[in-house]
Amino acid sequence: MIEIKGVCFAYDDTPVLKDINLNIARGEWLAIIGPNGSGKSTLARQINGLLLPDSGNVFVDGLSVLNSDQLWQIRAKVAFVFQNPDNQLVATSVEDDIAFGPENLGLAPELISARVENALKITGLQQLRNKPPHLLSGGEKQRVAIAGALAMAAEYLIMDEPTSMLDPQLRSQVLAAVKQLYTDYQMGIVYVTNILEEAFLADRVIALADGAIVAQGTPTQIFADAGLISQLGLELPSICQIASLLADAGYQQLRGVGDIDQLVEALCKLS
Amino acid sequence: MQIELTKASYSYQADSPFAVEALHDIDLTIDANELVAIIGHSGSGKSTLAQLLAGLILPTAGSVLIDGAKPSKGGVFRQVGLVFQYPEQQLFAETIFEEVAFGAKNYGASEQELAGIVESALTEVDLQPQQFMERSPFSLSGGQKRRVAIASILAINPQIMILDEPTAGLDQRGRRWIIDLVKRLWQQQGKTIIWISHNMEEVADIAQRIVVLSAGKKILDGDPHQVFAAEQQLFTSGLDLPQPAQLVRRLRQRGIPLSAQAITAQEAYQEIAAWLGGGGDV
Repeated sequence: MIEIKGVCFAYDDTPVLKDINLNIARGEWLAIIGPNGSGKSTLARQINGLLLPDSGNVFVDGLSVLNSDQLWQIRAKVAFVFQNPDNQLVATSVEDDIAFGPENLGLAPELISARVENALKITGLQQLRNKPPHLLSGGEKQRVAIAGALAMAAEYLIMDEPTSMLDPQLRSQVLAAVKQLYTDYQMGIVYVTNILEEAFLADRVIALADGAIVAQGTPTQIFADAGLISQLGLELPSICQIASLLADAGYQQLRGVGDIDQLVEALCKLS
Repeated sequence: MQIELTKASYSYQADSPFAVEALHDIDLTIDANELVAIIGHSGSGKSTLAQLLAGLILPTAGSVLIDGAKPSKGGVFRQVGLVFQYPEQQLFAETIFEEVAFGAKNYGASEQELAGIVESALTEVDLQPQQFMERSPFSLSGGQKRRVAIASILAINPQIMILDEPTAGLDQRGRRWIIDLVKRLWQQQGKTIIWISHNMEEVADIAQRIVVLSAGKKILDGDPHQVFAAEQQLFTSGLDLPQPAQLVRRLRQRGIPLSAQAITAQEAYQEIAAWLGGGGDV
């Protein structure tokens, strides 16, 4: 369990997070949405202590980010995937990069290679194992970063707009890898995005504005509230726009539907 | 002003064993005041095409001409402004004034002219000149930096503007702002707009014409409805239909009698509402 308790944070004198309280369970997929500058990335960086709260505290399975001994244990539990994968790939080959984390944990070599093997398999990177990371596409690079989290046997995965620099097909490759970590490994996923379609994959969505949580609920609840979405300066995904227009025209049961499969099923029932 | 590519190809590291052909045999004519989107998978050659259209690189075979002329000495088309992908990463000057003035100054604008040029370029991108001119561009937010980068291109007053993924990484408010600006430049100032994107929905919404690249070749060229009707070719090139078109396609597969025309949310809504109104039960 990740527990964020009364966290406040400021860059110089500009308050960015204002008294955030939030729990995230293992096995839960949480999406954080909000406009640029709302504090999403700053909040994500509090969870593994990349940034430390000015007041309040963050606990991961009871360990505190403010305790410097416990912080290292937290970093082994909580993996982070950044927006720009070039910021986090360090080694000269894909498999070395994936092995980097577990090597630093001081694990036995056989265990490391078993974990790397498994991570390569799950993220579909076996063919690319000897390639230098800088020659990979953006989607492949993000999958290497995800594989690294897997090889660490991380229990939580924080992702900060991991697909915003990718084209649609690469985006779905990355999302497929995340889904697998969620379903097969029951990792807790914290997924920061301003692409609202992606927020539909989550169990729960929180909306940030000006450093505070202004709404939370299931994706359907959040996206049924057109007023909230436009107040946040966000735009409903087009499937959701269509559902919302149809709801306005009298088909109330379609309000908040944002997934293409669900909308197809709901419309087929109407025929 | 017309820009014309004839059998244009481009290879990186041409004449070496490492030559990689990024564009192959492209024929493309873009007329004055068109709004053309260029779409394609990563690595399909979009950004290389943008540089070719701007005269930054010369074709290794074939030709690129503006109103019949080759790029001027120094290798650029002065009439073409290119806004690179993530342009905020290339800001360098100490003040926003110097940043925006840089290109215009290089093209020979006098000090007196520059003051007016910078002021109107900043106004165009909704940054109050008096408030911003003396500030460092590095003190701005990501979205504001991108506006400064666009203002520095507007300052050279190009007739043709090429924007490489101008909305990438922005939130919806930022995207909307860029789209409105580009529409204004296109409709009110009569500029030609070449919009490079991998966002199908954005392109379905704004473009008059779409050119699709795949593995360095032009595979489709037409109005948005024509291009998105060629779904097989798009799929094999690693592209998807816009979501509203995917919805309509899925409903048709389930036997719901819709026409396959809709590509925007509004069009899909109208199709579905008409069908529900005509026979569906509430």
